[in-house]
Amino acid sequence: MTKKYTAAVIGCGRIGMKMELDPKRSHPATHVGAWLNNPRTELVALADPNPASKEVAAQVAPGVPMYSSAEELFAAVKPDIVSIATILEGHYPVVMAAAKAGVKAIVCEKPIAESVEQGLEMIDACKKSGSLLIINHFRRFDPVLNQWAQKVRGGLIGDIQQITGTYSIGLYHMGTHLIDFIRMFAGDIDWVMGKQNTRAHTAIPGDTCVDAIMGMRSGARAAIQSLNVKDYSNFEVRFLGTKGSVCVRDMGRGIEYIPVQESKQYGGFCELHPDKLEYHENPYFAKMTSMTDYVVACLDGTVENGSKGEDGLAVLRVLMALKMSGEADGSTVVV
Amino acid sequence: MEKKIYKAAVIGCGRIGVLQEKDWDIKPATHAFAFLKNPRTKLVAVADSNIENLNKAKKMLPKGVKFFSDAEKLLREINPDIVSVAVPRGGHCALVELLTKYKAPAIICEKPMADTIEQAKKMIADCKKSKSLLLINHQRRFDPALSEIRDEIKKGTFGKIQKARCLYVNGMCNTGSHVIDYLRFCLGDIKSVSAVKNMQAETYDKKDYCVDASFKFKNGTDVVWQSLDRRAYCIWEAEFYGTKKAVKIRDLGQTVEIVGLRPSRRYVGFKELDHEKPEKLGNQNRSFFKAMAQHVVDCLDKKIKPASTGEDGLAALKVLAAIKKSAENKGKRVDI
Repeated sequence: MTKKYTAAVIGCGRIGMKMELDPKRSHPATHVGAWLNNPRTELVALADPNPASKEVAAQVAPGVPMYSSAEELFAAVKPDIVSIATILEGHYPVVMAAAKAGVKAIVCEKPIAESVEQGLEMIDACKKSGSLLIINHFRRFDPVLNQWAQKVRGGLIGDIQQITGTYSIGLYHMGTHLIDFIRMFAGDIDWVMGKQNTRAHTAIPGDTCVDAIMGMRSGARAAIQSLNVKDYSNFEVRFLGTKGSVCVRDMGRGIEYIPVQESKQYGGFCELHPDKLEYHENPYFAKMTSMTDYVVACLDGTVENGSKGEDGLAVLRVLMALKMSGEADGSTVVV
Repeated sequence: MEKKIYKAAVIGCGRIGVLQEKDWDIKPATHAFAFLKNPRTKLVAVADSNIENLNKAKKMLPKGVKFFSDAEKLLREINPDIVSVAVPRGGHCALVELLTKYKAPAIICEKPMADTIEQAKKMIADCKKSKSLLLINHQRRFDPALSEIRDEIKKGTFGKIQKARCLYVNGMCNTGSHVIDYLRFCLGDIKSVSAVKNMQAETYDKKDYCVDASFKFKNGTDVVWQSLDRRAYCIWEAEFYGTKKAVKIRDLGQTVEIVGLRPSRRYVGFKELDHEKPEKLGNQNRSFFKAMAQHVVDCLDKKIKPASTGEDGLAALKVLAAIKKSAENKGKRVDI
């Protein structure tokens, strides 16, 4: 018989649980909703210090016990899976507690931690306890985006020359997804030159938007730009290789592929012509079910964790470098 | 009254002057054929000190066009109304000086306009003295669709332009110059630049390397400018992100799309770009050379003001100089 995994959610704010009550969202929209929805998991416990969360839990997850802290939860239950959906400051202590409790799979919201030192300790603690640490850069769990990343890494568009990307809502909110996505397709980032964009709205207090030119380890370049979410939100990444381009747009819902062809208009030249554009809709996009399916597959051993703590830490290093460069008026910062 | 037919001459019979006409499907593709095709101009002569190029041009151009190996002889004998300067950049300044000596009414100079800022200033001063109209062939300024984008940006149709990004190949001066100029055309003057060399992007002219750069415009718009390797493909793109709409210009400027907004499908209460219903502007296969020839005629008829002046060419040159300075100082910001 196929094993059913027990799951718990620590941190029952917006992404943890509350957005499940928003009728305009596609559901499941939260960690709580996703674990409830997955036929291979059973949601056994919740934890949040805010007493108001109990009322929301009564509607979203009736009958699931709610604890006021991670320590209380781990003293009472030993779940196979824990989602950590607290604010950033909570990631480190709760991951450490989950590892100590021997949780098999720890899904940690992004960014991984407040500091590199914390991130290193979290990775080390999970290794020692045998826990899988999975950072919720959710595009890594999307099967269509994963296929495209494999195609690009496999040479579909040749060697990547340039990458362009746009994001909004702050470096630590959506920027972290952008950096992770660039790494997913094109590998590590070695240096950054960032400029602060104080006109773009941020969601997290203390967060900032930064525009930057970045040097990839491969020798390619990337440029990221931030837009003001009050005008519109945008997440778009384009990889320009020597044999074509792949553009992931609409947050990840659509993929445009253009192969290089001989120019029909200009003899002796090749070009990326829009007439050759192939558009691929992504039906899986941003479904929380992709995350839970992925975690279950990791625990079953059918999939290797592709969003490790090390990936989250690499992203954090880039975010910190971007922030530092932005504060130093664009000075080059080596990651 | 019958309208005047302007006599045109082209000095420099290389690719841009004459020869690439046979390679490109979008025609006219050269100065010579632009003036051959325009009903208000007559190509009367071409000149090149390179006899090989001159002989190739003879095979391509119709009877009636005169051929000279000496530009001054052409000017003495023909006295043209319009002269295209299609020689290598190092020859622009001296040739414009010669043209102003003969008081050519309209001079179309290839880009970038000169090797140095001093040369560019001299060219502008010489043309003022001789009352010659000096136009720089940053030809996207002459294209109706790309000019319309500029007009709509100025009117605020797309809202305030927050960001723009551009792609180019084959050297910051050669092709990059067109991008810089089009950005200035649309967004006004650049306040500061930060640039890093991109030695992976090969160029024809090894001295004219590629750079990646960020620009701050005086109007507050932030722009990134990225370079690619010309051996892979040719690219010229510009994207403008306004607060109300985005504009995407691809395919060397031929494909122009305006992308509006719709309610976000992910963030309730927010908006997102609606890529499914872009508004397309301009027909495919527009010849920028055709537009250039018509622009010169309209300027000589005094129907319009020149859209690409020597001062614009000089401003682009100053930006290129600042970019080079920054790139040679590891990306340090250079104010213009």
